[in-house]
Amino acid sequence: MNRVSARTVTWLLVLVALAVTQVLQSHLPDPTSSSRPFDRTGKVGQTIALRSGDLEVTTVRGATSAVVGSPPGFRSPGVIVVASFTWSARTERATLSAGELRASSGRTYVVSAVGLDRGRIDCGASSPGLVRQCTVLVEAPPDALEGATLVLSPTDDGRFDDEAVVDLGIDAATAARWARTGAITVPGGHYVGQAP
Amino acid sequence: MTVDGQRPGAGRHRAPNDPVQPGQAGQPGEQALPTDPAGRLRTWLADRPFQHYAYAVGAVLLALTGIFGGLRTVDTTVAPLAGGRPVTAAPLTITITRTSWTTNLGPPGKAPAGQRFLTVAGTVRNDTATSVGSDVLGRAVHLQGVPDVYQDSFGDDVGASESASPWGIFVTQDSTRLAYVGPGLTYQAAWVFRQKDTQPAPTSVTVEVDGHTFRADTIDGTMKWLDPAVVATGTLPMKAAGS
Repeated sequence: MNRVSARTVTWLLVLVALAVTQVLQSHLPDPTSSSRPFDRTGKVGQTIALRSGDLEVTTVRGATSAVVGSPPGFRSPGVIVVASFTWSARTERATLSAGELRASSGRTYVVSAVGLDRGRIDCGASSPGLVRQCTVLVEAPPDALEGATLVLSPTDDGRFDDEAVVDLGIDAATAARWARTGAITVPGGHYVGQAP
Repeated sequence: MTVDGQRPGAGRHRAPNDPVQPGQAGQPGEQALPTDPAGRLRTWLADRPFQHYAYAVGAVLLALTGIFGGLRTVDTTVAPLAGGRPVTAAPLTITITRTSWTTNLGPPGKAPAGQRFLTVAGTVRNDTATSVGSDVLGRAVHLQGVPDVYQDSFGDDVGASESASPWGIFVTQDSTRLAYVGPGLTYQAAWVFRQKDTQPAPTSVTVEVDGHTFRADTIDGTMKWLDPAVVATGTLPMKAAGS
């Protein structure tokens, strides 16, 4: 009888431990917070230093259609935002492979290096000491552009590393003008010189 | 061993007309039945067939889920799908307008020899606050009951259309591949599947639209749109493109 009671107590302890674990897990901080990226903020024309390199968004344009490389390009039901930026790796070859446009309302528009024909980052891996000219395309409705920021990250999921958060400086008038603008041509990425 | 080869005491059960009192051995070598309640319980448990143990384990596991929030309820409501009628299929709103087949999509390409394209066209809008990727887009629309459909975009595996992923999802106005749908954007889109042309071209197809549930992935805990489930289904006429 004592053995049966001991087993019963053991099982009850196991169940209690599982339940306590569940309660603790629901009350502890989100585990993804420990892997969240470090935001490095800046604005257009400002150099932002990341762990793996420096970037500077030089120009921001917008239109309803874009030609990337060769025609015919593509059209958007919203606005195609094209940001040009320079990127120079710090100590080893590195690139910026993912990002998103963050609207002031909280909505996010993902852009990826493997975005196929439409929104994407065109920025090959840069060697240390050289500056690479890169572009990023992302589609968003005009009402999401005022006060939007562009986030660029060296990792696909943005975790465990720095990410650049760039205020694109878009106001309502600019967004409305871009919604009426026709095609813009987007240059491909290339090296433009040596890093200072 | 006995003469007939039976092990002494091997027969646990007795004939109904040959009762044995508790604590009293029957034939020579037969074990006496226990008299205490715990012993009787052990004997009773030992006599249960294996299936009963399986049922008991299942019942215990089911009861234990209660400690961890219980089983999730699933909405199995399936709405009728009609051409041109929007369907809410979280995280998207999808409107199927037409279906057609062709061997030449134009800029996206021609069908390989022995294949044809089956196209489901309509509009897709993202109703959430974050972009929806091609994984969810690809699971959101599929065909039902169409034979010999290629199962993915690159392989040669052929099977039932229910399990087939589209060859591609294209924006119809410029023939580019649609990888993401951002919040608040509505695209004219076409889900394109491949079918062996040894089958006759369908004159009608049943289209199913799937919705998803936003929940934590059981593997890495990240929040994703998972668990596709049919939310609308309907049969639409299918004609050759351009006819």
